[in-house]
Amino acid sequence: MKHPNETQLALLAGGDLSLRERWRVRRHVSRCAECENDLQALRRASEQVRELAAELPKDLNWNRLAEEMQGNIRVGLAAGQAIAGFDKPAAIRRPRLGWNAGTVLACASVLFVLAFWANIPRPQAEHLAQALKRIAVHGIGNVPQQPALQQEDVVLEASSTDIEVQENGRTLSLMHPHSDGATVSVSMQGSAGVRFIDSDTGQVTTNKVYYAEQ
Amino acid sequence: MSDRSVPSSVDASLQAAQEIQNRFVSDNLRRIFLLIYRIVGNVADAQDLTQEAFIKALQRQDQLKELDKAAHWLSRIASNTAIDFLRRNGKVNFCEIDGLIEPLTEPTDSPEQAVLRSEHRAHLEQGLDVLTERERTALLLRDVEGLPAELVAEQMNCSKATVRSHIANARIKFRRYMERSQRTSGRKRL
Repeated sequence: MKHPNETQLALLAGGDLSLRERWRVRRHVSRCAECENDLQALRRASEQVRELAAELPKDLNWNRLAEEMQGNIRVGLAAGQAIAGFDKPAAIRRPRLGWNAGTVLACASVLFVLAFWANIPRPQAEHLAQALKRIAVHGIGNVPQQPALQQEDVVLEASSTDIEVQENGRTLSLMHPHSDGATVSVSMQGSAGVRFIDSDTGQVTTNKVYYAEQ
Repeated sequence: MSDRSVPSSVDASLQAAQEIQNRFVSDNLRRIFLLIYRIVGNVADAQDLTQEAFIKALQRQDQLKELDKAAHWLSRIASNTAIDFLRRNGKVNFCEIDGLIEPLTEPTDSPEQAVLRSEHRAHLEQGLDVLTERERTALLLRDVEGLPAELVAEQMNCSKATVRSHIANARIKFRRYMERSQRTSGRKRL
């Protein structure tokens, strides 16, 4: 007759064997006094552990310790509640530009505009200034109508055949009929010019008319 | 009139909740302290861990759906707290073990000295000291707290087979210790 090992008996003592194994070991123990004694000894050991576990350590003043622990638990819970308040996520709000940041941004913008203004060429600056002035007066998108020409205005016109000056309904033409081709130029300062090769002489000829206000 | 009744009813419910909390602590304090003390083996650590376990439990009391299972739930928190403490301090590793039965180690003091020097309780306590910490934890959770082996395995982060071997090993060692000490005691009397 093969005896169950000590581990099997130890597990049987606490009801920790599988169903099949339990049945087999119990069947043996019921017919074997030696194994029955071992099983009872193991059960007594488990019982003694339970008794021991219920007893307080030697020389321990339980009442004092219990009071101390209860007080500490209350303090711990209160501290936990206080900390939980700090741990809560702050309400989500849109990031706002603070006053300081706004001031810095405004100063940086002004400095940028001044630096830009100081560094652009003079004619462009004047042109830009006039454009801004017009915008200030008329607004963006409102292009002022060009004033109609007055009778007393002077018109200077250059073409491949002549240069004309029109004033008060009269026209003065400077003809250059004998040319194979001409280069015409006008300027905003009030001048018109033509360069051409005279077919009669073969010389490069330049005609230029300046208008000067009296 | 109604303005005054609202805060007073709030105060009353807070006071009632506080009383329930206090009763829960006082009803379970000794049992939980002893469970932790038997696992960690000293009063100072057991005191700290008991407090920690109660604070954890009471902070999560909304997780507890069934009040009749509160004691079991608290035991679980307590044993986990103690096991975590042992792990943190490197006192024990709850991993798989190779052998089913470890060789029986002698207690630090001989049984003769123990029997002569102390009373029955001290003698039993020394019996528990024979066990390794993982054996003692498994034995306490199974035999004292009455947890099934599956739950003990879950708490100790081991397989059920490992826990069964811890439990069996612990019972065998404790029984051998008791028998040896009885024999020694008998010889002394003679």
